[in-house]
Amino acid sequence: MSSNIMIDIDHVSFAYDSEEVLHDYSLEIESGSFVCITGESGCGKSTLLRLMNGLLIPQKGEIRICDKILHADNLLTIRRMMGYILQDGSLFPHLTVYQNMTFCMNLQHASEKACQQRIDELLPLLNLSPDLLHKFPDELSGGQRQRVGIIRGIAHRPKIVLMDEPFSSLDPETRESLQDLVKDIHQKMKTTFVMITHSLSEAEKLGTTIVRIQ
Amino acid sequence: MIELWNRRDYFYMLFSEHLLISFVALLLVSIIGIGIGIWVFYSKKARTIVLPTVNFLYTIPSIAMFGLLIPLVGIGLRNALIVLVLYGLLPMVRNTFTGMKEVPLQFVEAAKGLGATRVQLFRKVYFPLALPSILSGLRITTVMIVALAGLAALIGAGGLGQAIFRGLNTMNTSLIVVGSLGISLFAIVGDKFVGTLEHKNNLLHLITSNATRRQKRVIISNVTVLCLLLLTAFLYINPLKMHDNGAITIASKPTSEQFIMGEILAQTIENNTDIKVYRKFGIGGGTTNIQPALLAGKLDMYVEYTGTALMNVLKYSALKTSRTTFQELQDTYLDKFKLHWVGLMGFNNTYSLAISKKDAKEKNIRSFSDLARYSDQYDFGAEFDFFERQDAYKGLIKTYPFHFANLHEMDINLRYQAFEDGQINALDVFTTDAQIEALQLAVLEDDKAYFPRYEAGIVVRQEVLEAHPEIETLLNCFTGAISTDKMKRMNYEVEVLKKTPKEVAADFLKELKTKG
Repeated sequence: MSSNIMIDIDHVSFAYDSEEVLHDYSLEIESGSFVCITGESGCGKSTLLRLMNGLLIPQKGEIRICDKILHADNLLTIRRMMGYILQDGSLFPHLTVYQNMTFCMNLQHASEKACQQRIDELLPLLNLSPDLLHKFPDELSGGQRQRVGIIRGIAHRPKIVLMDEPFSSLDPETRESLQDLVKDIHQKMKTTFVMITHSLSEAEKLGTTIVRIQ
Repeated sequence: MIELWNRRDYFYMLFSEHLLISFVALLLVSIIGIGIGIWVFYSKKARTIVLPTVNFLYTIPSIAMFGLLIPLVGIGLRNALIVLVLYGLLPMVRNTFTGMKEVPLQFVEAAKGLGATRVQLFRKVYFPLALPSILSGLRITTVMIVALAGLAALIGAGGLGQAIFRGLNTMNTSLIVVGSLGISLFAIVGDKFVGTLEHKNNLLHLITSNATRRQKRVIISNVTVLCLLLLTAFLYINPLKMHDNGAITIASKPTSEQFIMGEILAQTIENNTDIKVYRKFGIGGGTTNIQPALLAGKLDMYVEYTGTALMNVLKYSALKTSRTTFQELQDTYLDKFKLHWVGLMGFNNTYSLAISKKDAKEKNIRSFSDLARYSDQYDFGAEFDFFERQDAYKGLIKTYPFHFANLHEMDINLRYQAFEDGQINALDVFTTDAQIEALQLAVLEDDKAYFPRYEAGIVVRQEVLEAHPEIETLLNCFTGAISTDKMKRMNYEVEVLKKTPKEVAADFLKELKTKG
C-alpha cells in the first residue's frame, strides 16, 4: 500500500442493531487531501466519520490510520493524532473559551506556555479577538463558537482533522466566511481534512475529493 | 425569656452538638453518596441492586431506623450518624447518578473524539457537568439531615432535638420553641451555605479553575466561617474530655422526674466531692438504652424503678416480680451485672388509673373495681406501650372486668392534653405525675394489687463505687428521703410552675440539708 494513504477504510460493514448502514465499504483518503463526504441523511456518512476516530468499531473489515489498524489498544494514540470538529462547536459549557481551545493540548499535558503560544498563533488565523478568551461559550455568537471549535480541533497539530457538519447551523453569510477560513487553514496546515456535509455546493467549494455515499 | 437566657450554656451545647453531628453526617453522606452515584453510573449491574436498596432505606420511618440499629451499634453518636447517612444517601446517589446520566451526549462524544481517557472524561466532563445536580442533591440532603438530627436526641446523641424532647416531656413550651426554631434556622442557614456553592456555578468554576476573584472570595469566606463555627463547637463540647479518668456520667430517662433525680445526684456529687460529673439526661427509650450503656461503662449511674428492673431488665413474670424482695433484686443485679442498688428513695411511681375528682365524688368511684362497674361510660386513653405490654392493659382487663366505651392510643405526653380537651375521661397515670394535681384527677386504688410496685432507687456501677467509696455514703442519704407526694410536688414545680429541674433539685437538696 502506498504510504500516501492516510486513512484506509477496507471492506467495512457496520449495523446499528439489525439495520445495516454500511456494507462492505472501502475508501482510501490521501494524505493532505480535503475529502468531503456527502449523501442523503441516514446514508451512513456520520457513521463513517465515527468509525474513523473509533467512536464506533466496525463489525467487519478494518480501518487503517497511517498504516496502523485501528483497535482498542491504540485508539487513544490514534485519536490524539486527529482533530474533531462538531456541529455548533459542541464547546464545553463549563470551560472558558481559552480552556476549550486548549482542551486537547491539556489532555496531552502540554505546558501552559506552549498552550498560550499556540493560541496566540491561531487567534488571528481565525479572526478572533483575545478579549473572548475568558468568556464562556454561551456568551458567544454561533460563528464565534464554531471558530473556537475549529481552534480546539487543530490546536494540538493533528495529522487528520475530522469535521461533522460543522457549518450546518450557521446563517449563510457566516457559513461562507467560515468555509473560506477552513479552506485557508487546510492550505496552510497541509494536513488531511475529512468533512461530512449534506450540502453538495459546500463539498464542491472545499473538497479536493468528493465522496458521495448512496 | 430570662429562663431561656439563664440556660444559654445548655443551648450553646445543643447547638454545638447539632452542628457537629450534622456536619459529620453530611461529609460522610457526600463522600459515600457521590461515590455510590458514580459507581452505579458506570456499573449497570450495581445499579439494579443499589438504587432500589437506597430507595428502600429511605422508606423506613426514621424513628424505626434509630430503634433497629440499637441492638447492632447501641445508642449515641454512632447510631445517629449511621441513620443520618443512610437517609441522606437517596438524594445524593440519585442526583449524582442522574446528573451524570444527563450530561449531553454531544459533550461526551466531543471529549472522547478529542482523545480523552476514561479518567479525563470523568474529571473534565462528567463530574463538572453533573456538579449542579449533585449540589442540588446536597441542598436537599442538608436540610433533611439537619432536621433529622433533631431525632438523634432520642437515642442520646444530643443536639437541638433534646430541647424539643425535654420540652415535650416536661410540658415546657419555650424549650420546644427554642429547639424547633433552632433546627429551622439551622436548616435555612445550611441550605443557604450550599446555595452559595450552587449560585452562579461558584463551585463548578472553582474546580474548573475559571472562577472570578469574587467567586473565590465568596467560597473562601463561607468555608472559613463554617470552619470557625465547627472549631468553636468542637472546643465547646470537647468530646475528648469525656474520657476523663474518674469522671462520673449520670444518666436519666426522658421524664421530668428523671431530670430532677439526675440533677439531684449530679449536684450532690458536685457539691461534696471534686469528681467531675457529666450529665447524659433524657435518653430516649429509657431503660432499654441506659442498661446496655451502663454495662458497657459509658454511663455510671441513674435512678431506676424496681418494677422496670424486674420485668424489663430481668424479664421476670408478673407473679415472680410480685414475690421478689428488694434484697433479692440487689443481689441479682450485683451478681449478674456488677450493678449496685443503693437503697430505695421512698417514692413509688407505679401505674394507676385516674378519672376526674368530680366524677369520682359523684359516682363514688374509689378503686379500679368501682371504675369497672361504670367503665362503659368511659373513654379510656393511654400510651402505645400501655396497650401492648402484657403487664399493662392486657393483664389489667383479665384482673378487672373493664369494658370501656372507647380506647384511644396516643403518645404518652398527649394523654393529659386529651383529658383536658375532653377526648377521654379516664386514663392511665403514673402515681407521681404532676398533672394529677394540675388537672384535679382522682387516682384510683388498685384494689387487687394488679400493678407491681415501681419504687425508685439509685443504680450505680460497682466499679464506680470501688473507685469513689465516698459516693456511696452520699447516696445513702437519699434512702427513704423522697415520698410519693414530695415527688409529685417536684414534678409539679417543673411541669406546671416551669421551674428548671436544676432549680428544683437545688431547692430539695437545701431542704434536705436543713432537715438532716
